Amino acid sequence: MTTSNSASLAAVADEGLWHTNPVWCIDRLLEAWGRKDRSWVDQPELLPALLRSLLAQGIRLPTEALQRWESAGLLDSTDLDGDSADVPSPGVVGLVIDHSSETAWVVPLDIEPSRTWSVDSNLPIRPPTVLQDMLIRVVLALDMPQAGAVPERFAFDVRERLGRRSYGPSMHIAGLLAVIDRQNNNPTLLRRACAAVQPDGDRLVPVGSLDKKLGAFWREYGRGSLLVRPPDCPEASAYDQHFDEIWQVGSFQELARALERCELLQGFLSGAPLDAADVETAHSCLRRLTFAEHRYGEALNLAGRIQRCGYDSEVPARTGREIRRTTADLYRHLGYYGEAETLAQQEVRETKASKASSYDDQAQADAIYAASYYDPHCFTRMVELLEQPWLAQFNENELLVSPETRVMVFNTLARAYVILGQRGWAELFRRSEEILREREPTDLPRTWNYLAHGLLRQGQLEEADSVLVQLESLPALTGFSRWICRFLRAEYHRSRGRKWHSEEMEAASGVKKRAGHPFGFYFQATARQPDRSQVDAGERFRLAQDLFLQDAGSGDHPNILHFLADCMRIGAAGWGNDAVLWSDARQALARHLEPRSGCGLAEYYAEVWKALGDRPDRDTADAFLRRVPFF
Amino acid sequence: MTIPRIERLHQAIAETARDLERVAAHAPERTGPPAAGDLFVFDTGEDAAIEWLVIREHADDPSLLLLAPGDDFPLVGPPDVELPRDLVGRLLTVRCGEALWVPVGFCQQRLRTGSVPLETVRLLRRKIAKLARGRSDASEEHRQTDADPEYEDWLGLVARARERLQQRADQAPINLGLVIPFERLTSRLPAELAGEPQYALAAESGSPLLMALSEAIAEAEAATRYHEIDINGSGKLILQATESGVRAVWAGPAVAAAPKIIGRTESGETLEASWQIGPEGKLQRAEPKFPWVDGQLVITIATEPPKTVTIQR
Repeated sequence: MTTSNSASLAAVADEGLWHTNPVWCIDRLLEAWGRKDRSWVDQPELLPALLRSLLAQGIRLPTEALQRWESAGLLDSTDLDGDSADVPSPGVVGLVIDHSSETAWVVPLDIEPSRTWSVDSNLPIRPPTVLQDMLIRVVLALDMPQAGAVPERFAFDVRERLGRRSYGPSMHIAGLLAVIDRQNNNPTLLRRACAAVQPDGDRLVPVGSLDKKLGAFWREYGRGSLLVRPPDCPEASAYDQHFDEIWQVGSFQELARALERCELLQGFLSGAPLDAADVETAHSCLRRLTFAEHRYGEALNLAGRIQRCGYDSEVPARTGREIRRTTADLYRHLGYYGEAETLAQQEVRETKASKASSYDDQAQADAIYAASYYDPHCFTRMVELLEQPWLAQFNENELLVSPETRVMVFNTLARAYVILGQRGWAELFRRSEEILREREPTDLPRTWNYLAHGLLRQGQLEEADSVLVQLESLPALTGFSRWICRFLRAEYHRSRGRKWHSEEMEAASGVKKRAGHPFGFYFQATARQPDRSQVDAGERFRLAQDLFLQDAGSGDHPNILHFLADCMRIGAAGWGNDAVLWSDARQALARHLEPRSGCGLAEYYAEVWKALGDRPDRDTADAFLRRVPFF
Repeated sequence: MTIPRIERLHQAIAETARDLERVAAHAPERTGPPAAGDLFVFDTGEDAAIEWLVIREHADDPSLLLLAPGDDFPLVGPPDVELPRDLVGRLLTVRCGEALWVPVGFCQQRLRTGSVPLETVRLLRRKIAKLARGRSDASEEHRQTDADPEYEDWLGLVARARERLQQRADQAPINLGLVIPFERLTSRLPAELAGEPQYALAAESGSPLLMALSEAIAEAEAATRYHEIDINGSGKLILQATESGVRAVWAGPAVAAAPKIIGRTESGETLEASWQIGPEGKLQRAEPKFPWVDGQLVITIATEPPKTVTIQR
């Protein structure tokens, strides 16, 4: 018997399952024992021994399962001397289905605070920052004054013990709640909790195989403390009786309200100055949002909150400056040229006044400052800032600053030269290319995109094509560079007098983009391609307009994206021969083109603006759009 | 700081239990039938360590003994006698109001924990006699104790133990039949229960958890003792004795009916086990398992003639 019974344990399940889903394992074991008379006879003797050993290993079993085995005559009420502390208290658990066996299992989650977000590779929460994004989402959904806090300062390490790889988003909300559970030191409400919802955009929808999953929860833990489930879901509400509390949530906002009612978000709402560890974690998030995911609006929101909270004295000044630079970049990426310029100018002043500065710091600050003049169309100013002060010096001594800084100066200056039609831009891009090939090849696509854009604007289509082919052949062209490349390819075909579209970019229409403007560029380029029907072109202009407005803000602050959106209206009116729209768009553009200090739009568009008559005209609209330096 | 009443009660119970263990460990070895002054301990199902003191034999029926419960709970009420410490060497208060008659056979030698001097027993006899006549010589202090809720709780517990004991004593089997000490049972697995060799042990998987579970199962198996009884050539009754009791298993041809098995519950009531047939039909398992009561259990097998087996721990 010893041999056969012992062997049965391993035959039933591996250690991971015994640890996490002991009731399932025991049921399987009893089933196996129950097939032969010899082992069946011993069931009532061996089961209590097994249960006592599990308890000794810290593995708790629900009263409901013990009662079930007692009713089956396999256990005596005196066999186990337990108390309420022996009831399982796993916290918030995930629920998964093993599709090969159609079995549902519970997945207890172990959460520990950490410097960076990391999630066990077996868990379907990929990348780990999905949890951080959801956490921020619920905190900001509250729209409370405390939302000025920086919950991005927290990070957690999420582990699991089941040891089986799972897929899909069904465990995301459980992961989020487990993190909240940990931050609140495991409150009673979350002692035995699960979620039957998963994210779908802003909504929370039912998870798949809901009945089986909740059945697994009941099997392993008995009565739960909290069920987070979708409203109007009979499959889930059938389990309401097995939980102390039910949250019916259909959106992140509803989930946020439920969490806030129980004061479970307070732990994330500290507005205290960030310490060195906090800044490291929050800055990592800022970099991700800005440089990897191009979610500029969210990044800018975070940067603003970080700066409002401030830093404690241990935070290196350099980190604070990096965050301020990123903020300036973000304003520029989002078209807020006024703010971008102000911040960049402040940086220039500080860098020049600082005793702890260097040529490298100063050149970088000037490059960022110059770049901030692109949106307000002050291209001559860009040249003034970079040509004599830096390019001339680099021509004498390239080693004056770091290669990365030289790339910044070369590219920014070359972009200004392109628009001004000034010679030497291609040479500058080539110099950047040379540096990047050796220093940071992964950054080459950006420079190649600038180069291709310059070539297209200068009508050097063959050369532009070969640069784009080179770009398109890169196996790992990342999101932003790929979108710009697609736009440039559309522009290339437009310039060739051909109709062309990208499946990837078309498929993305109607979906909120991480960054809207590359898609706006693409749709305006395709709208202007020949042989498109009036309806198709009009629809593309409207899509481009929406995409530009996606990140443009309310308009309280000048934003170049509003100008670009109005450019799309003039295009749509010209292509569609729509007099009313034409008139409206002209009025809107007139406001953008009013002469203002620090803004070069009026001067830059003077000629093409004058050509736009009172009546809709496709050719004059196209000429106006051709002048736009971004296209 | 005031300790809650129920907690004080639990503390007192625990202290009593400790004292009782100490006394039992030093109990002088004595053989022979129970005599006045002897102390015994029985399973009463109550969470209290109570000793039962033999007061005397019944005047008309020497097969009956009068027992009175004693303990070291600190409160003493009107029907109680606190035995002189210089004679018994410890705190022992006898609750004379809860005395009861039990058969002599009920007080088995192995349940004896010690004894008190006969002069203390005389004190108790006098007290019981007074109580029987309705006379009270209680002091003012004892009368006040009578109204103390803690005392009431304790006496309630002693009363329940007495009722349980009385019930069991009334139903105690007269015939113990074949008495088998636990140590005489075999640890060798009967052939009918032995399994065929299996594949590798789970413990060999290298998993600490599975190794621990395997060991627990193996220990449970190793701790089981067996006694086999041939039933008139029609099959074999196997008694499986474990820490928690004894279960009967019937191994016999499917056509042969398993014999009726009668045992007793913790409260002394007789109980007939029912037979569950195994998945292959070769073995049958009796439900429920019969519990140990006062360290023994008596099973009657309804054969012709009936067989009684008593296993003692």
